[in-house]
Amino acid sequence: MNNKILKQELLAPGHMGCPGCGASLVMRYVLEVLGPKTMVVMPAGCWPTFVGLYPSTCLRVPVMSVPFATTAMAAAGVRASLDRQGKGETNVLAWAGDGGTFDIGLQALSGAAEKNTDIIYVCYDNEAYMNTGIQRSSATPPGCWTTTTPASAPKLEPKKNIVEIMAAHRIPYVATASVGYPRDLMDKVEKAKGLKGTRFLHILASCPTGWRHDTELTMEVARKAVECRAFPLYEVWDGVRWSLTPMAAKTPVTDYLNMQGRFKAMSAPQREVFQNWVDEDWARLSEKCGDNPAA
Amino acid sequence: MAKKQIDSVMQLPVMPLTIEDMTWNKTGTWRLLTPVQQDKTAPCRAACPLGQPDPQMIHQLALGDPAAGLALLMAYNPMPGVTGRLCYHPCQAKCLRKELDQGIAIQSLEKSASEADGAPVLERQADTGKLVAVCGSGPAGLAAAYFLGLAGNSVTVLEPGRTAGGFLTQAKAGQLPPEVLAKEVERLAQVAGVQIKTQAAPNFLAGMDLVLVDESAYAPDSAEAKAVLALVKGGPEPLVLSAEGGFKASQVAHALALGRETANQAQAALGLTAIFAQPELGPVATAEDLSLGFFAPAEASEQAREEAARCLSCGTCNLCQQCALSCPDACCNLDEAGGTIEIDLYHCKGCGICSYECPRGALVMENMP
Amino acid sequence: MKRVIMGTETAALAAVLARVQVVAAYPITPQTVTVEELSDYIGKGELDAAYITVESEHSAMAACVGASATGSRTFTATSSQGLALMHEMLHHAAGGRLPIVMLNANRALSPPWNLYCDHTDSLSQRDTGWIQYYCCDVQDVMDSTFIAYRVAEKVMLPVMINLDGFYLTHTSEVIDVPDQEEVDRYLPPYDPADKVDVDNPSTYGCVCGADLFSSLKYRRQMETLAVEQAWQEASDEFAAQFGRSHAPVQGHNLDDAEVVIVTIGTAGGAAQLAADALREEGVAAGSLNLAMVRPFPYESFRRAVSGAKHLVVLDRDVSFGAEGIVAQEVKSCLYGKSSAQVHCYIAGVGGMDITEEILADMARESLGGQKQGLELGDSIWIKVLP
Repeated sequence: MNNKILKQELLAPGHMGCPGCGASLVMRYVLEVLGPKTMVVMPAGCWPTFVGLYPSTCLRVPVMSVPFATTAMAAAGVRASLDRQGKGETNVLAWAGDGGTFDIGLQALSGAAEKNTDIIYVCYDNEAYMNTGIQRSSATPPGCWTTTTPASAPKLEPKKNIVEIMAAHRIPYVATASVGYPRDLMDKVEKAKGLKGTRFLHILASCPTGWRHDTELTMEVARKAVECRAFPLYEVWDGVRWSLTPMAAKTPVTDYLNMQGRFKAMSAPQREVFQNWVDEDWARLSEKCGDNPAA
Repeated sequence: MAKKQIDSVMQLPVMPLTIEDMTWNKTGTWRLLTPVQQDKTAPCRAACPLGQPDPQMIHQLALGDPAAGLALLMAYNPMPGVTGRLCYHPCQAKCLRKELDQGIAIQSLEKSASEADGAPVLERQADTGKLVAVCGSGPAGLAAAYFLGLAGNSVTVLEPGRTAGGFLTQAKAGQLPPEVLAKEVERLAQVAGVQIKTQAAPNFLAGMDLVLVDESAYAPDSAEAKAVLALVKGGPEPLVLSAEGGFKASQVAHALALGRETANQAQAALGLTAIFAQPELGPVATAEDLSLGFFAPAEASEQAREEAARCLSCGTCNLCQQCALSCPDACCNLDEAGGTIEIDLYHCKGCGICSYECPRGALVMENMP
Repeated sequence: MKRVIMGTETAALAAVLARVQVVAAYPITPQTVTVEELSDYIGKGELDAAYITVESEHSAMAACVGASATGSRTFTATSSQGLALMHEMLHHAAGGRLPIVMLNANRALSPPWNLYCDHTDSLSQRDTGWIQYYCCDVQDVMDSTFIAYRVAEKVMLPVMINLDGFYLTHTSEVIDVPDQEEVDRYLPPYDPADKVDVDNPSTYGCVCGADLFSSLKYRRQMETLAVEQAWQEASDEFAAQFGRSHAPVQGHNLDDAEVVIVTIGTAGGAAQLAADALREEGVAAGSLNLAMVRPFPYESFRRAVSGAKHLVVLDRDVSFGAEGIVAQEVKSCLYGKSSAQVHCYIAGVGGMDITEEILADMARESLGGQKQGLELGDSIWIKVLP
């Protein structure tokens, strides 16, 4: 009997991801649930850069590496093709970073979601264009250092709320998860797997390289993000039923910010902006979720 | 693991498809620090007069395998069913679970393991051809006989009284029912291949290579005592199991430890190597070594398996596989047999997440040699 | 079966007869009828295919890429701006060696907006690696679709079937529609050796180092250059079965021609009439319909014009800062192989009619006749304001 904690292990060692890569962990967890009958479609980003060095790959499931803007619709093409071939049981996993989801891939994602295309879309969010050298995306939090939001030109805008956008498409399932909580993450993938239509998972994937934290802290940072509610965990069914995932008591954002070099240069007013953004989003989210039990 | 050699582009598929995995890529060369499994000693174990591996035993109970737990105990302790009832359990006073909620009922778990069906099969050394007699069947004598038996000697225990067990026979029946004691004696004899004779006249000691005498088994200056000592004359000097002032029932573990130590002395006297080697135990784990936040609160339970599952296994790998779960490179893996964690240093990039996430502080990052 | 049918409808019907399995398309004039017809065929169950409505042409090609890579016969249609938006995906589809067939309705690119025929849209995609075929009439639309799939799936490259906007997309002609069984005999089901597949997992399109990258390009070039021959063979087999030929180079009275009018698309008909008119004047004229622009049919073209002294090339396009694109291609093909003079005429851009007279006048000018249009660089522009 296989007593391994991850039974599938569809990620082979030897990939080119940075030491301590959160996005690699997210892939391990997602594939653990989805299993070998899964086809991954990924656009430009960290993952396709390190998934392989032609003609070698680190994934034991089929992968299509497609142009940046196309993830969801390339996945829709795969889905249609497989369905036409009677392979409806194969999961189609659209897999993109925050740049590929919040920014350049949003149109295609909306196009696929509007048609409730039968795919699982995972956005592994490391809050900037990490692969190209840490540039700002619309998922970058306010006050955060990136190479295009240096201290001289800080980002003032809050992080785009991608979940609200996706929920507005009334797709069956939208959820957030954090690489710091693998069990919760895998539970949510399991729920997604059990549904049909467009399922969207927004997963925080800490990045030691871009976030400027010790490599060993990858999961810890991702837990702290949840605790301080900079990245709250919740689910939305059919775009209307919102429910919070049980989380540890809310902490001030300072603990989270202080762990990471990317927030080092933040001024006191910027920290306040960050805390206000977190508090306002949290208040709005709490109101939406009300007492809905986590299902 | 070698990368395929491509000599012609026609060897590749028409579509830009991969033909092999990436395992040839020695990402281990990126590493600056190396994860090393380095068990610390659980405080319960450090407190045990016998140094018995409680966390490991408890882990087996949590897995639902009390027989495996019993085998672990009996490598250190011939009578876990007795200590599981009578011992003053200094282990429990040190349990770090108390930092979280309630300490683990270690003694109950020991008792539970001792109730496993059958007798464990422990490794018994090849026959040494040595004849050893142990006069007196108190816990010290039984422990000495047990370990000497495991060492491959032919051991006979001679008990002048009607029941083996020495002062244990005096214990209150509510604490240690006589049938439990009898079963424990029978089991240790079976495991170590020891003969136990009660109401035994010590009349054949002359041919022995070594005799151990527990003087407390005989009334001082009694005929038996004199007879034993007289018979020993002419043979090798008897090894005396000293029990100055005797033991209280609750100190049974100390008596067993004395017997175990005496077995080693006996081995030396026989010109044999020590049978019981106290394992080198690392530094004792403290609350700071643990990630207490990892552990969910859990009520103490009367059910051994549930209670065992509450054990934090302080400083000791219990194959929880958090390291395997948290490796971005799939380098920490439970081995095929399921008994250890293997770290794939050919690929490990040394990020240290495994060490940070180990809830028990059993993985450390060391500088590269 | 004979039928009166429009160009765009024909493209849709050809896709049905080719038994395409996945269609993904975005509407754009003048291609729209094709996607409308296809959605109706699928909706009525007359075509067993998945139809993916998309939110852009970029996504249309993305969906085709996903479908084709997983082993489905895939079709799409676009035009002009839509084709330009697809540009990135065109490179991808060819590099992925995906045998997608696409209709492109040739239309001008804005600004200013103009919906009519212009070849700059497709010709500016020459370097994407797609096979480009230009239809001369409605029958050609039907037949070349089958040939396109047959060639694409053999060489694992995508094919762009080009229809002159309105001249062909919206022209109805009497054509022969083959029976399904006949088409099936010519075009077997798509069963690729390579595909993205859970039963044989591999990664498609990951990062490739310099060590293999140029070798892969070298191989693709080798296999693309072989398309001229592959298309010719597929066309010959088509001719053997259906009696109609659709070769990469289609000549008219070329054997002894000293002056050859070279066109792509529907102007080929007018070019034939112009050549015939010139013959009546005693000029040894012929015409050449360059059906395939990529890969450029070097062998057939050189052979076809081996005796010519003047090549009059019509370009319904321009490469700004250079000259007409077809003329460039022709010059490149003949450089060092022929002493024929190549005359580049830019005309009919944005929908202006190309008549038999215009083409004949071009040929006359090249032989020393009356000056036509305005000379600019190496080209002569017809019917433009000075």
